[in-house]
Amino acid sequence: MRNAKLILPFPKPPSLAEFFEMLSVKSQGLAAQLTERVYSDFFLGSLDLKEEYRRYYCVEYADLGDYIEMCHGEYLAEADLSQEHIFRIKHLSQMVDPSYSDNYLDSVLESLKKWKSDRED
Amino acid sequence: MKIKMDFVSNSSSTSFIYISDQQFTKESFFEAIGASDQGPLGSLFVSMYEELNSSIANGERIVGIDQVASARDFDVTPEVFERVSVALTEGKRVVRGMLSSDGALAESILCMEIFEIETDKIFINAYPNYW
Amino acid sequence: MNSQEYLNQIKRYFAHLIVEIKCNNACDHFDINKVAENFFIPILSIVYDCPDLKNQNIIKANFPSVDLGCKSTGMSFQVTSDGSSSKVIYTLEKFREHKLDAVYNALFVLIITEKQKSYTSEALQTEIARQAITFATDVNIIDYTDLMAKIAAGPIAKLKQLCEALAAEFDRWTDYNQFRSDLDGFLDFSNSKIEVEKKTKKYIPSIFVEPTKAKETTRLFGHPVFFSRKIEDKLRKVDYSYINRYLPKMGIGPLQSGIVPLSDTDFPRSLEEVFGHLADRKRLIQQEVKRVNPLGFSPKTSCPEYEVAPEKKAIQSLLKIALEAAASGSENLYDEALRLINTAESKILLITSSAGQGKTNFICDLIENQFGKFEIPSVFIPARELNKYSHPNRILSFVSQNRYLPRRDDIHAVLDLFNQVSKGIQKPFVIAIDGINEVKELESFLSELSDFLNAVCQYEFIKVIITCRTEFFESKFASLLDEPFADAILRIKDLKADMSDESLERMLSSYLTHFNIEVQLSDRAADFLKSDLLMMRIFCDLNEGQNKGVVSDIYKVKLYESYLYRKADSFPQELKPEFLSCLYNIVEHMLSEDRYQNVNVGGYSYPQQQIIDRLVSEDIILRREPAEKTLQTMLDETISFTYDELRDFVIGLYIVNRVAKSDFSKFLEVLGRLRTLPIYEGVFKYVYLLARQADDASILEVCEAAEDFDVHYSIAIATLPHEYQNEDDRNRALEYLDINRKTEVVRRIGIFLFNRGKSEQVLNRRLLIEHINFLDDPDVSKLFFILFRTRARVPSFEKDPIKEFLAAWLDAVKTVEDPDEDYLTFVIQLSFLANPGQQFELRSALAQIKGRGKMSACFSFVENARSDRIAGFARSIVAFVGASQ
Repeated sequence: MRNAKLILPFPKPPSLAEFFEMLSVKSQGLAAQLTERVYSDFFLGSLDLKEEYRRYYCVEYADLGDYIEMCHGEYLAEADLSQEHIFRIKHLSQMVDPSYSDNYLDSVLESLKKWKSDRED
Repeated sequence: MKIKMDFVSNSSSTSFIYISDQQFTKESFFEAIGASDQGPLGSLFVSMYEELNSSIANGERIVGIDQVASARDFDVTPEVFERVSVALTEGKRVVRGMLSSDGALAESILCMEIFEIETDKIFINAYPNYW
Repeated sequence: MNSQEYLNQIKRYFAHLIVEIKCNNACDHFDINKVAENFFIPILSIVYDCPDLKNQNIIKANFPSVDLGCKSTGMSFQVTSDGSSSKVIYTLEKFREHKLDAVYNALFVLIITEKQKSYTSEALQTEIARQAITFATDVNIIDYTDLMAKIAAGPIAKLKQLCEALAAEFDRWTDYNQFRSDLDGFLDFSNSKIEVEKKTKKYIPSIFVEPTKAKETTRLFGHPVFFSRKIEDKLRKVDYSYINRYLPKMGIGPLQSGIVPLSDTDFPRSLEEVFGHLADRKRLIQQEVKRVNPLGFSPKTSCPEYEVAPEKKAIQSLLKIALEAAASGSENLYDEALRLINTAESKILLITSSAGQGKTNFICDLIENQFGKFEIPSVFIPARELNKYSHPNRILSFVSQNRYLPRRDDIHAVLDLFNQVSKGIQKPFVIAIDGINEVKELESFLSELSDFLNAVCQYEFIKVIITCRTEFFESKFASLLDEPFADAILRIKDLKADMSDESLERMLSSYLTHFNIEVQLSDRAADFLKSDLLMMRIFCDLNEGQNKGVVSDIYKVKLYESYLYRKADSFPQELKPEFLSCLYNIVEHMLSEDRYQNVNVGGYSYPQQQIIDRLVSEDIILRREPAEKTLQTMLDETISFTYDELRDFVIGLYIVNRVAKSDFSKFLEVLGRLRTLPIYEGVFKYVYLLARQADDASILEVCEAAEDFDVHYSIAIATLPHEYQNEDDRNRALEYLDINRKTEVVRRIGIFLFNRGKSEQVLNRRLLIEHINFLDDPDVSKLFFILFRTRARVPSFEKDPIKEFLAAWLDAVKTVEDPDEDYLTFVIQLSFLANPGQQFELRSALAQIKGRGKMSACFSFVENARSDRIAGFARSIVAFVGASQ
């Protein structure tokens, strides 16, 4: 059951254009082709656990935290649970795949974090 | 999307065709792929440039069209074949480079990706894949 | 009705309302929230004594902040299904902005589902502080439990009034009442049976850990209207854009799916519509599969539309794998969608798994929690209760016990009634039969069950869940899979398939909590319990209510012995003396027939039969077995020990304590006879262990002289309680580490020693590292290769266990201040076998540790190793003193 590669609590996700911008990538070309895969891993191919809870599991589980713990084997802190979305990401493209030692997952997460805090200000 | 199939083999390699009459520079590469060396992924794209650059430098220089012809089945599409033949008559540099999925991340990503890079300065076609 | 009955009835109404609201909201059917505002007017009027409570939205559309208000009392209510802090903050902000405190002196936020456990948000406290009215989160944020608490203290007349008001509101807004009377009875009846399972500890809710996958299956099976939306989700994931990126390059037109997934709002709301929709989906999906399959990895047919022109052959070949991946990806999603449809459409869910894997827990939890929460009507039938009734009406007779059920004479009349109820509430009616292997007359029950399932399949909304032990199913019920209804059967074969280590961890801690055991388990002890659910159960049963302190090792031999003792002690006085002789009887029986399972226990004395009955019903020591019955044996039980190891232990106990003591030559004869049998290894182990504990010299002599004693010893030593270890063991362990012995012996002993970090035990890691230091090249390398199951040169494509072990140590040591000394010593000894790159890393990590000075003994110890290669590496580590790198 615990087969998520990454759990990403996040407010409203960026648009693809915003994603390109935060990674300093132009919207056409090989760089965009590669980073679009990451975007799709994170925000399109993932499962939004918050939405899943609202649509299917709120009847069975008293709260979101219980649901995530029981069904996905992950424990999330209150601050993470209160994010607008909680993306469970099962597939990560090569660029951000932790099984490659020199992957760019941290860089992408860092950029997302920065983008998020810039917007909150 | 080339899928790396572990059950077939642990590694794969692909070839690509490079055509240009100019030096393959970092600037021209970044312009062509739409990236900057400053962003969060900058170092990745720099490595990609370096991998391609060394692969071009060590690649097979194509001097006659028969090198591109059907030595291996369907190595290049008719469109690329046509480009190579024009490029050769124009005296441009044509190279067949190799990429391996065993290499560093940058090379491995390039190896797994189907892509074409085209600007008025450079042309790279990386469709072929061997398994 | 008395107060309690009124309260129960009120609670039932509210519970039903909450399910309705949650389910509707979950499906984006928000109209129910509007209904709820009006629904609560009479309810709140009664509870809060505010007779002129009015819907402010009716007076003025979208009245800000509060939905309901009572001018005379000054009370106002916001009715919402959103129990979050942010919703409360929003309500309070609007209340303040519109200066409603001029009209109302109190504001209640009524959460019509359930409120949060607490409201501690800082933003909320800030907003409350800005209010002109008093607002306390524990008083002014309310849900139905607060309404009930408030009314419970009041006079019975008020309870009656509220109950009637609720009934009237339900009549007005839903058709719930129409089916309520039929339903409640069933649900209560079903629950009462589950309570019995709890009392007998067959179902322990607090230790239940969800098999996530199986539960997901039962969701769709049990509530197709609600969960079939997941099929649309799956279809929404199908994306032809990658396929369409490639097709045009080959001169083929793009694909467009004929399926448009439905939104939640548009998804059908009745069972009939959903089943119709699913049938339709299946047809469309099959059409799409026909289009994508020929493009995928394993095309079943070729498709003329995808023929490419000769000039496109080259590009087709280049894009082949990419296109196949994209097409097969889509096909997989379609396959998954078809599987989900099949789950929703199935009528019979069959769960088979081996003994002790939690079938009863699963099914009880399912009915109590999943079905209970969704108000899915269900009847729970523990199959052993069917033994009370006669063939061929066991099931009907059981169901007819229910006094709420109008009298029906045949099964069809009952099923028809269930089907009606089901249709009325748009949820299937589920009949769950738990443990059909516990029905005594299996042959006749098979035909009854088959008839019953045949009947069920004729009713569109009735479903059945059956659980059975695998071996019984295979030998006695497998013919069900050839019946005409076989297509309607969905089978789950392994409940524990998706149990992760975290789940097991949680299960262990729930067990310990449930049995009120205080204990600090070492990792090794915890792993031991997690490896076997039965061990977990026995350990907890045995230590219930105790404080065990630190437990670093758990030994099966002790566990079994204490458990049997405890079990015997729990029996009534008259059965106690018979307990052990009953088990010995079974063993004797096994030995004399040379058959170690499926023992017919007909002809045992009455007290022994009683003991067997009790043990069989618990399924921990003994279990029932399916058996061919003849005229002579038709009334006999056939049994086995539930666990082979426990059997081997009891056999060991019998031959050591009974046979050897009375007739040593018979002991020799029995042990000799077992030698060629598969059970010999297990029995020998326990004979040896028991003799060690009893210090029985003559048995030990026999054991030690036995062929392959070194193999047996290497297996047994790990389970010998450490207080029995002695100097002889030390010498024997060293002798068995000789690399010229059988590798399995060397490896087992070596690994056993390595895993014992504690120096207070005789056999420990220290012994191993001393032995390693004593060995010369190349023997020492050979020893390491044996321990790690590897060889000198490992090709790069293979796993290299030594490299992995050292890499893991390097990884772990970064975060550890003081590594275990003997472990560190072992790593230093092993490092010479790393490749040059890893040696470099190891040397620098070890240099840092050496630099800290605390572990210097480890380094000097290895520097004096007899092996030049080991000593050489150790000497090459130069203590690093300075800032850490």
